[in-house]
Amino acid sequence: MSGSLVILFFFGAGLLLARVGFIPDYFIEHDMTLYMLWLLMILVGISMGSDRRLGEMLRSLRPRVLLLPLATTVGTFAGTALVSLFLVYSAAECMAVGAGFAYYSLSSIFITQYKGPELGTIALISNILRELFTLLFTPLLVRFMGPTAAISCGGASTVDTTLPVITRYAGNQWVFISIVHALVLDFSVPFWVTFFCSI
Amino acid sequence: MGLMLLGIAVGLLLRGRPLAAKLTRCVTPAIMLLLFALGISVGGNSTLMAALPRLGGAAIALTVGAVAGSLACVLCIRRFFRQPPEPDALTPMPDAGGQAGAPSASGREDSQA
Repeated sequence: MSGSLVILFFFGAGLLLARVGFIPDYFIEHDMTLYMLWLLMILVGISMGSDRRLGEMLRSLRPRVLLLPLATTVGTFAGTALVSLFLVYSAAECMAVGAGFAYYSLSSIFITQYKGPELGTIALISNILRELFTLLFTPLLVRFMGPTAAISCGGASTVDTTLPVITRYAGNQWVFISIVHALVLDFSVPFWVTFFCSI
Repeated sequence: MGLMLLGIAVGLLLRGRPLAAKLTRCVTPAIMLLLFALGISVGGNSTLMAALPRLGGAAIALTVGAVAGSLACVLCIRRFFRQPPEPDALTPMPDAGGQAGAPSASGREDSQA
């Protein structure tokens, strides 16, 4: 929770400083986000490659466990494609936003790079909202639709920010599937987002 | 995309060394810097600033669609999860990995125990 507020703060700070003209024109004319993205991609790659849990997770996977991230993926894409009918953005663009699965930081940067800051801003807000929604409504979701609904709603955030609230309301026995669900989605975010942006 | 594969390869080589953990810890500050830069490019663009309420509306609509779709699909497969899958032991995460804003290390460790 505090993590997403800090992220929002940095975005807002950049927004405000540029708005009041505090940022030198050089930074506004020369887009810095591209170089930042390169740096971030190498860092994310290193953290993926050096993470032992990736191998362990792949070994311990059973097909049944994969059903949940699959359902989240299919449902998210179907839902965002449906919503795209009422928006000015194409279905692929809307699905790229949805493909962030609440992993707002990485997805919004990717989308900014491929589709411009307009859709990138939508992706940032939309995916932060998904995390907030999960934090707020997990108790209700668990009660009326079961633990899997809450985990699916949390998307890629069920391994860190929303894990405590899911553990609290769904119980310890759901932690394993929650972590696997988020890791599978985490690793799929860069691939889905670039895929939908390049259509 | 190529840069990411390069990073994964470097990460595999660095696995288990302290340098890898140090670089992994740099992800969160890098993300913050990046969003700061994204904020600058949005704030410096007055047409975009004027459109911000509309963008927020689109974002809300997309979130609702994404969550509703996920929930609908989960209702279809829920019967396979009467019992939660048995927990295989995963190594506790040493540090907040690729995710931004993952300060809940204590919560994670507690819940895995």
